[in-house]
Amino acid sequence: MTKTRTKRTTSAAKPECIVNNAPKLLESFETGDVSHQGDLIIVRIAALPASAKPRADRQLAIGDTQGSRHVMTRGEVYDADANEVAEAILAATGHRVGAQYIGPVFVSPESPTAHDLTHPEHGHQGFPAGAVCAVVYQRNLDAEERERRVMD
Amino acid sequence: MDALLQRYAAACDYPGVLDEAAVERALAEYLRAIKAMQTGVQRIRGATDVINARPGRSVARDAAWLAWNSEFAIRTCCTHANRLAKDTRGASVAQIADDGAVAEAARKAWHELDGRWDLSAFSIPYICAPNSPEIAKWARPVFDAFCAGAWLVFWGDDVLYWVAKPTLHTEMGSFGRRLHCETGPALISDRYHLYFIHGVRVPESVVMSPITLDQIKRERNSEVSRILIERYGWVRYLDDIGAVAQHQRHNERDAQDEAMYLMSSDGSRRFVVTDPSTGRRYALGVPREVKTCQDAQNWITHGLDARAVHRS
Repeated sequence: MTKTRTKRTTSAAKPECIVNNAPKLLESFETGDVSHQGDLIIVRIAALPASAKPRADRQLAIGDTQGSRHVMTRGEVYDADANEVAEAILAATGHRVGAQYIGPVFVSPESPTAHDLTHPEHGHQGFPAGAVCAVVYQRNLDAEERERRVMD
Repeated sequence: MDALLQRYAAACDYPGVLDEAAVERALAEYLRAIKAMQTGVQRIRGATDVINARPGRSVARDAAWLAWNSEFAIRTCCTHANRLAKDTRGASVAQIADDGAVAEAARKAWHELDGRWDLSAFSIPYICAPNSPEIAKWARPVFDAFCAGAWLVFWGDDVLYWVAKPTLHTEMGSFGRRLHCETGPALISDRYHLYFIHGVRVPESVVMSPITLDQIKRERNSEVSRILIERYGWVRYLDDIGAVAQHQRHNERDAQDEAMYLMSSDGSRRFVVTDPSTGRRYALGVPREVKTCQDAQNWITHGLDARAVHRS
């Protein structure tokens, strides 16, 4: 099991702004680190799940709207067993994510760029070479207070 | 190749020219090329039973699929489609496709084979391989039909139906070009009209009818819900649902304004957050035990927000 890291900021310190819409290649993105691209959550996990199977569709969020167009233009994209991915996220972060909120897994290319993960409205992102990342969807409650995925 | 690209780029500027006779000549030649001489050609000018019925598998359609599905054609398209789209100016197929409506038709044409084929995609093999006799014999007429004004084709049992290119209402900005019209359909075609607000496809009622609270409540897509609330008016919305602010803050780390509201009507809670990238506000439902904005962020992100090192 991967050891989880402690939170890097203290409550007393003013948190450093992490928002940047310029294309960014994250040179440091360790296991358990998280990045947001709009409502998409990207979590680095330790290794590619055994159940991973390559997929042709590079769009990481389901939907026809512009908001859903998070596209991994380079590297490899996989479908994997959601429960296995959830366990990998738990091991990496200490947080359990319901299987229904698990998306594809991708592996950053050997020569990453700041434009590997694109979106028409949010800043493009890139991750260290070979980084295995799980996609997690946000959740909210609908009008009947049933838990469901945030979709845009 | 350059001349073909220029023709293609011009043809992607919808609706462009419409030469009905040229379209029908080109499609007839296409049918001859795939040895479907018994199949007729007919323009569709509105929703009809012919189109609403899911077409059966006709011999002509199967022949067309075999031609289109040849390994070479697929490989050619995959290799060149992105570059082609970047090379074309203005309303390139990729640009339009990014905006939703045309992409929807194209995707169905490519992947579902439900009888609707988008000629902007279907004509690409000819541009990529104009000197390949095997491809060109059927792809050139398709390309010609697209340049003459055809947009979609539908396979009937013994007729190839076609639809002229739509009129698009768009807006330009740093995001590129996207479909947008606040007073009517953003995509107007003989086949159907589609409604978009700032690139987001919405039901007709969002644009053409007054927005109701019930409509906002029932909407399950957060992006459409946001548009509904914006058109209804945020202040009016929060007043009308009896929202009482419980906690507000400016989230320094994420550079966004956040507020927790308690719904006086039923005790439920909404977390209203302003996206730092787009400036858009969203109202997300959170559990009743969530009291603060930080609690809401943690719950929405499954606790992962605390580990965020970057956000765009």
